[in-house]
Amino acid sequence: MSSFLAPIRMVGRGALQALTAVGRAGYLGTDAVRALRKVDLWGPHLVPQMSRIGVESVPIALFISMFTGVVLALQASYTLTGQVPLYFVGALVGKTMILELGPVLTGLALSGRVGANIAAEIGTMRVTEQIDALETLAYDPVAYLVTPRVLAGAIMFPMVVILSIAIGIAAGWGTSMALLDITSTEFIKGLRLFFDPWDIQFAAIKSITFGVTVTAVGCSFGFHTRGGAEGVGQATTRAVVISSMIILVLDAFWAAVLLS
Amino acid sequence: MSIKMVNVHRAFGEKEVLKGFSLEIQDGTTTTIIGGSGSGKSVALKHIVGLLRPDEGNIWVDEDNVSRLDQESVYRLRQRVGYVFQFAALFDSMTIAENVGLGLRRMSDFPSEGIPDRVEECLHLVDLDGYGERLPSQLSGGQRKRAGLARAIATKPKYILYDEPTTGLDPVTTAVIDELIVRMSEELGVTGVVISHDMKSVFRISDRVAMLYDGVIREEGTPDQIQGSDDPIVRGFIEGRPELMEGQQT
Amino acid sequence: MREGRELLVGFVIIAAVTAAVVGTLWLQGSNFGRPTTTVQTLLASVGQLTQGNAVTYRGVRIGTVEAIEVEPGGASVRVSLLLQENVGLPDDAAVVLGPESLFGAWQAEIVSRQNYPRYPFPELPAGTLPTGPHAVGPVIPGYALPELSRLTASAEEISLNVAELSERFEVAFNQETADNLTSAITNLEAITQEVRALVQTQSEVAGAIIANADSTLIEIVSAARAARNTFTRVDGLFEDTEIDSIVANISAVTADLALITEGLSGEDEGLAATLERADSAFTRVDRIAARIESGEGSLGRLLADSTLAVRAEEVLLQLDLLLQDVRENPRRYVRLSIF
Repeated sequence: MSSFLAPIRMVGRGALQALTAVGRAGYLGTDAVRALRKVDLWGPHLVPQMSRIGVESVPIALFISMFTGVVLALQASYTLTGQVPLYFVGALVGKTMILELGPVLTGLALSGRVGANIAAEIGTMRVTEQIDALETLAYDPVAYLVTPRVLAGAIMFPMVVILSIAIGIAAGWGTSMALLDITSTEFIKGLRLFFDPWDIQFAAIKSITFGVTVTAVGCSFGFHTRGGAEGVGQATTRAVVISSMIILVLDAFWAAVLLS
Repeated sequence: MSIKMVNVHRAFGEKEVLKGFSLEIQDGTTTTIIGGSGSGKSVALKHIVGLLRPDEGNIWVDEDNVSRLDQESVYRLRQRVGYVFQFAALFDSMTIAENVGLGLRRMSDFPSEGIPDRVEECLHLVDLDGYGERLPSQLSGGQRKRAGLARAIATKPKYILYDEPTTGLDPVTTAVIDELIVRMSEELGVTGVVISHDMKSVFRISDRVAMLYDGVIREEGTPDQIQGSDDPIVRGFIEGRPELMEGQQT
Repeated sequence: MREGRELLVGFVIIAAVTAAVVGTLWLQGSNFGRPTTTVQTLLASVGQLTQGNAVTYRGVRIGTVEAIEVEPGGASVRVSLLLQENVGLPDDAAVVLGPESLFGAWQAEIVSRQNYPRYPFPELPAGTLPTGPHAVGPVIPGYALPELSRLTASAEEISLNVAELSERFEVAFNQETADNLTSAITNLEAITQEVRALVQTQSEVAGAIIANADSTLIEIVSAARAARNTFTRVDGLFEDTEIDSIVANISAVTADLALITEGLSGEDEGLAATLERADSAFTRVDRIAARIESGEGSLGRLLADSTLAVRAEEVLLQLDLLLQDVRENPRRYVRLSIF
């Protein structure tokens, strides 16, 4: 292989790896759905996973979206100076938080927090043969480990995202009143101007798919971990990278499918 | 009624690990598979419980052909086979008692109120009385292996598979584990399959010994037969003399 | 431990669901369970109106657009408005659809019909009944304001018409022409009266004052000259054929005046006949002048008939009002969507 072709080969290998990862996650996700009937296996783990994936992610998600809201308000007022009335700050903050930044920023943050956590945990279980041990004890590891995590992700991601959106808008509102020359009434007027209830559903649909993606990719990389601690580290990193990529692709996909 | 592996082939990618592996394990005996690191001993063992599926060949456990069973039947089969992992593979987030009781909870015919008693009984069998409420991280390596054994015997399996039970243990603990394996066989009538390369303990616990070399069983017999083998590969391995094994391919 | 975790999960879920539901309702401007009533309106088209748009009355938001559907047969659109129950609507209520703001959605405004006489509200046949699940309230007529593109098109048409009109007007009639015409007519009148007075005087004293004929003649000649000058000027001002005919009449009169002058300078016996002819000639001038004054003929109409001027004025006024409205309420005509 000449050195000239090496970069092309790298691109090809990267693409194949990414596609393989997506395919494996897809298979695992399908298996996880199929394992839904084994309620006795995943049932007891659902609430703890919802707590780990959802509740424990609330602080970081709120932190991110709070500052996003502040920045949006400031940048919107900076951009809109001149002909456009300032109540558009409200419209901009609301629309951007609901449609894009709430779901995507939360999704990306949680792919780091939740996806890495799951990949590391399941990867460690894989390399220490705990998953084999589950199998020998007649526990379906997919139903026992994957299903509750994916389900918890699907349920809790939209919750975290909605809280993020609420906090982001509230932060933008507060900023507008405290730092900008906008009244509360004006901000709300702008907020309501373009509001469409469908936007909330759109955000929820997006975040459900983000939740499934992050958890399924995390589980998949964990399941296919090879080697020892190094393998776990690699699985963790790749899980975060791949799920972030899928989130962005899904984001574009949903925008094209649901908003056109 | 026994475990029978017939002409099992299994490759991982390009690398062929089992190349026509055949072995029969008689009920009530303890059979040890010996062989070098990476020779495929663990792979062979995992085929028995369906953790791995053969590319070719059949594995019979009692009347079940493991390689042909669907997933649900494999799970039922596994309740008859205990598996002791090399590093115990205890679940970190659970106490020892929860670990030991885990398999019992999957047995539909085992009453859940009987679990604590059974767990205690198993812990007593491996001399871990009073350790039930500890977490795996609070136990030493030998204790963890014993806890793993307790978990494997909790469902009263007919067969127990031991994956390198004494590797990495000090001689005293090794003796304790060996003692336990013998006790399982004698007191519970369990059929055992052990993977080991600790020759001292192999001859202490085994009724039969099989040498795995280059993907197939090189020689199989009683410990005395193995110790008296003429095969330079077998001799080289059990006596720890690599010079005997050189140039003796196939 | 476990209970606490379940509590937290439950709390987060309830908080998120509450935020989503309450937030949606709030941002939609929901009235949160206050009593409502439904009013339906029938109109030809709904423009950009969509479900959920605001309904206002006297500028205050009193409800939302609940449903929009084309009537069976496709003759009109039926829009259901969900309103606060306590708002009393006028008896001649009608709905005007238009843009809510410069950038935003449309709204339905409930108005009193008498305030918008120019809007073509459809006449609803008596006994038009509300339809659908909330068929309780009245059915009122509605009208959707034309959108910006249609508005500019009609404004352009109006301005083109006005331009053409004023161009024609300018060619036909400017201030100088009007002044000249007025002074010409005034002169004509004055001369007519002068001549008539003179002739009267002459006929009364015809026999007695032949000796003074010379001075009288001089007066008549100068008067006639003035008259001729005036008519020449008028002749030069109008090229229009109808105006030409008037001017031709006037020229004929002038010729008659010349004859009178000639006759007066001739023998005494011819004087009576000459005076007779002069009288008839002056009568004609008088009559023409009277006709011009009373607005007959096209020159007269141009001066007297207000229709054309008033119509033009009306168009200009409407255009002015429109421009003023556009300046004051630009949002009603401009729709700009950023997102």
